[in-house]
Amino acid sequence: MQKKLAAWFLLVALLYALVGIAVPRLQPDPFWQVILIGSSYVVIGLGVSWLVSYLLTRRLTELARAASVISRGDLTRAVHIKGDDETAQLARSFSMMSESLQNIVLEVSNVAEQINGSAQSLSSTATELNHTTDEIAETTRQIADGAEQQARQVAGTSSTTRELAGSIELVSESARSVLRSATEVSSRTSGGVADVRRAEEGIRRLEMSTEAAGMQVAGFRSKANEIASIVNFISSIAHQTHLLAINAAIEAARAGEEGKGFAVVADEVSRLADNASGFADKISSLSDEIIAGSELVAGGIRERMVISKELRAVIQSTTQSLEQIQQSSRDTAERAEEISGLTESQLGAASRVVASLEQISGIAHLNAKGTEEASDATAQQNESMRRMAGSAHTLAQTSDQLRDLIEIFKLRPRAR
Amino acid sequence: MSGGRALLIGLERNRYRIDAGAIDGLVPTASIVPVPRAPRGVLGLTEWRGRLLTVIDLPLILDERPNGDAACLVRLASPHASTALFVPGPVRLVDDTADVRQLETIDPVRLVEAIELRLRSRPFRGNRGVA
Amino acid sequence: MDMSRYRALFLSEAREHLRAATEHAGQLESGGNAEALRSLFRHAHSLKGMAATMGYDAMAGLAHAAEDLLAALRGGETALTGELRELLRDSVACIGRIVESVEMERCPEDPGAEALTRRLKEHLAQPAAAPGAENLRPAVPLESPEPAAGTPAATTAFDIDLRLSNERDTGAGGVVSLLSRFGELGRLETVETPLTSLDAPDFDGSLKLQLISELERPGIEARLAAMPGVAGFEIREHPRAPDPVVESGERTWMRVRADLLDHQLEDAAELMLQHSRLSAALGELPPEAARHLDRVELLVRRLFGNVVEMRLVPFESVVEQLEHGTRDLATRLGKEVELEIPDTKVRLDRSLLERLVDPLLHILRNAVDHGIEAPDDREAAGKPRHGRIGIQVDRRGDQVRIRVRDDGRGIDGEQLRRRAVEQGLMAPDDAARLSQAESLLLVTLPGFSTAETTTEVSGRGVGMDAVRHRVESLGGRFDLRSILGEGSEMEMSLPLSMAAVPALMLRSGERLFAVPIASVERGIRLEGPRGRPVAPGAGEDGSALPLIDLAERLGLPASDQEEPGWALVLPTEAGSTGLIVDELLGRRGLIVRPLEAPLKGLREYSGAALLEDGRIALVLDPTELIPTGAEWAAGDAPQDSRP
Repeated sequence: MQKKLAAWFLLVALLYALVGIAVPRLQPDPFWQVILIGSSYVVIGLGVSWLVSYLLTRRLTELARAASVISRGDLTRAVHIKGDDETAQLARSFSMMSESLQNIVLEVSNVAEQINGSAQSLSSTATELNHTTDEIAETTRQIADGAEQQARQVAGTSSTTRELAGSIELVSESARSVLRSATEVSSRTSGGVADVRRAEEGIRRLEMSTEAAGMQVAGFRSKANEIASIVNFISSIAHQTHLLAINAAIEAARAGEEGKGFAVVADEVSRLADNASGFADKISSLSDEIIAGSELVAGGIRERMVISKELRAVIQSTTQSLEQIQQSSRDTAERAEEISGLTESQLGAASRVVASLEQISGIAHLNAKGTEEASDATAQQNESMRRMAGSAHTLAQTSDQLRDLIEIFKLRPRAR
Repeated sequence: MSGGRALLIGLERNRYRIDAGAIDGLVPTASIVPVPRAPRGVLGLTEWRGRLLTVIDLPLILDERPNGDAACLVRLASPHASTALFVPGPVRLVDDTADVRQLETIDPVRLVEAIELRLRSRPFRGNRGVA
Repeated sequence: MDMSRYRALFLSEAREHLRAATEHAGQLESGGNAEALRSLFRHAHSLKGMAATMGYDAMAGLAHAAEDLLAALRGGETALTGELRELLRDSVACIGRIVESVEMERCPEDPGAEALTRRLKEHLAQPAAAPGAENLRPAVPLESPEPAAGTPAATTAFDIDLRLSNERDTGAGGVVSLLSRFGELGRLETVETPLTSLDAPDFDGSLKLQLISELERPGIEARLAAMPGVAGFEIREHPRAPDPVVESGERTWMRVRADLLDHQLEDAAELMLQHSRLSAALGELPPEAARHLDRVELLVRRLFGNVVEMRLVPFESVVEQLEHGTRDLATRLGKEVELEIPDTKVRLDRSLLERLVDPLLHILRNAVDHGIEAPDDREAAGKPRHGRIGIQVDRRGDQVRIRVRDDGRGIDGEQLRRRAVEQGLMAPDDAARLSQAESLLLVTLPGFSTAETTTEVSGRGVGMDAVRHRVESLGGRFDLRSILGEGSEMEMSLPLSMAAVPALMLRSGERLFAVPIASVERGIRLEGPRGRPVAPGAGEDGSALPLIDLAERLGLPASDQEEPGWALVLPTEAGSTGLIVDELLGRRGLIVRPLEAPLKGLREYSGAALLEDGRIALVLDPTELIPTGAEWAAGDAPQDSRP
């Protein structure tokens, strides 16, 4: 540049010297001389300065144009200015700047891309996390509710148990009073039983004598029955004899004349059998009458027996009832004693239960409280989580904007 | 058969006569085992002195009814020595007088034949139910 | 049968008997007494039986001769001389030598045996038959396998514990068919195990039996071992003294009126009946009385056995009648026929034989008319001009088997089937299903006729069914075999006497029935509800077993029993059919009496039997209870057991 400027200076000086020499020669008038020389000087100066400025500005314009392109984001355009003057140097450094700018933009673009991806995934993770925390929060709320409920129930149970203990005490008291009255009843019935037993003994004696009479009648009747069965036997013998007699008669008839006498005998036997049969029938009807008569007597005795049996049954059942009363009052006394003993131990057990229940109740309260705290913490966590998700979302948006910005730059295709 | 004898049987409605020569004897009744598919009129089988007797229901054949409690079996003579008539009524052996011969006569041989005929006349197989 | 397996058994037993026999023979020489004679007789008898079972004929013959001589000695017919003592001692020694050669696995013979046997027989033959008494004894040779009348038929009672193999036929039926095989061995006296328990789940497969047999123990063991379904057995033997009546050796004869014998049988049967009733009525008795009553029972049974024995007559008594009938017809038809009856000595119950004459005559007439071809035709067929008809009678245990064989044209099963269809006796489908053996049995269908034209002689179709019915009503079995062009054979197996037909007792509702075991294939326990019973396992070919309810068949009220009950599998011409009953009550020997007029024509039953306790059982005739093919087609078919 300096050389070019020196060359231009020499040229101007030369022209000036030329004009200074030439003009006095051509124009003798010093006036005109001065005017001419002055105007030539002006013209030369102007011309040279135009030329010089033209030469200078031509490259600068080019540079300015390249800068304008870059300013629009196009980093693809290169500036080519030959020479090694300041302009050229400027152009070269301009080019270098464009080159490094392009690299930076590329890197930024990549980073933005990465940020965007991370932001997005962060956002979605956050959203998910959010859901989970929501669930946790819900569950915790439920637990908290349950714990509270449990605490309430334990409180309820423990009050019921206290009531139970109260009633047990009542039972114990009544058992004691039952015991007292039962013992009283037992001792009073003992006397009654003895009286009734004496009455029963009397009736039993009465019954025994009736029974003896009945047995005599029964024996009489069984004799009569025996007669009847004997008569039946006689009757069947008579029937068979009759059949045999007929058989004999048939045989006799076969034998013809010789059998005649035998046939008479057979007929005789047959008739005897018939007679026997007739007598048997008569005896049979007589014994039937006897049986009927004895049946009447037996009936009367049976009736008496039935009545005395009924009486005895009544007495027996009275004795039984008394004995039962005695027994049951004895039993009752025993039971009452047992109950009394049992209620005692029940009472102890109930108070132990109450104590345990109260412990449980305390723990349940604690539990409820702890859970509530956990719930709060979760809610807080949830909130920060929500915020984080918000930020992630914003970040994603920002990175999106950045990407949009970077997209302004046109980059030369580069080998990757 | 003059001078012969006859068995009189009294059932509810009528008296009947059997020639004494046609019978072998009288037997008290014992348990009678029915014979399925036997022709109508056969009461069943019974045991008599280690022998089997086929018992014929006389009242049923005569369209009669029992008379009284007494009952016996009338064993028939050869050729039906293992057959007996169930007679639920009084029996009596009498001289076979003209009066007696007026009564309805039971001919055991024909009786048995009549029952056998029922058996033969029915188609033997494929005939369900009691004849 | 491979006897070598039983040789060891034979040897140990034979040595035992020989040792004792030698000892007793020695006692005879040193004075001799009745006890020694009796013992010697017993051992000789045992040795004879064992030898016969093993097939050692020389030894059997010698022992038999010795036994006979000993019997005569005991009866006092023959005096015990020094010579006889010597002879008996030699005989025992000779038997010992034979046993030795058996032991050395040589031929069971001894050079001296024949001579000794002959000498023994000579001594026996010396006393002549008592003069005046008519000797009716048939010429039965001593070697006859039949215990001739009067020969001490020493029997032995065997208590047998039988173990059945697991693959035996199901239940009682299988056992029944197994037990029916015991007929070959002897008389099955008791079966202690109740048949009804056989199907119980806890049945352990063991059966206790008592067998009365003329066979010796080794023989029974050999036969038991060969029986299918028998896994093992144990035998205890208690010898029964031969009946003293028979022992007496008094072999004179007299004629007896046949009807007296009939009465005798009836009385003996009633005596048994009354005895058992008396025992039942008396209940628990003091030991003394019980012993007497037991003795009475023994005597009553023996009496009955003797009466049964008395009624046995040799088959030869009807031979002439049969020959006459055959010859007559052959002459009339212009045929040449030769009737051969090789063994006529087998004895059967008199009335049984009488009842067999008609069926036999019918079979013979059939053979002459339909079987034997005209002489010219025979010549053309390459056969001798005269046809041969053989009647073979042999005895197996308490059964007698009669086979009538001819060398005629045989029976064409195919033609029988065709004719059965033509005559409407069977549906064509049913006929086509019949096996060869079954189609032959078509001739025994009622109303069946083979002859193209009805001739006077036969072909009325009323023959063979009557034959079969008669045989089965006598507790027997009828069978028919034929090879076309070569001839045919009819076989009848019958109980030897009327003494006892082995029968299966059964119950339907409240009624008691019996079926001859011979006509039962097996009994099976039914499954399913009573109304729709199902036969387990069904038939052998996998087809369902058709079932008929006995109660329904007899018009009895339907069973109200809840259990499914039993079915007796009965072989029929159209395969097996099951007869439904409520309960099987076990086996019994029954004296079956045919139904008399007016029940004679009632063919549902082959008879009735009086049990020892006085109950009456109707004996069913299975062949008549089962519908024939035609009836099946007519809707009379039994209900199908298919579910």
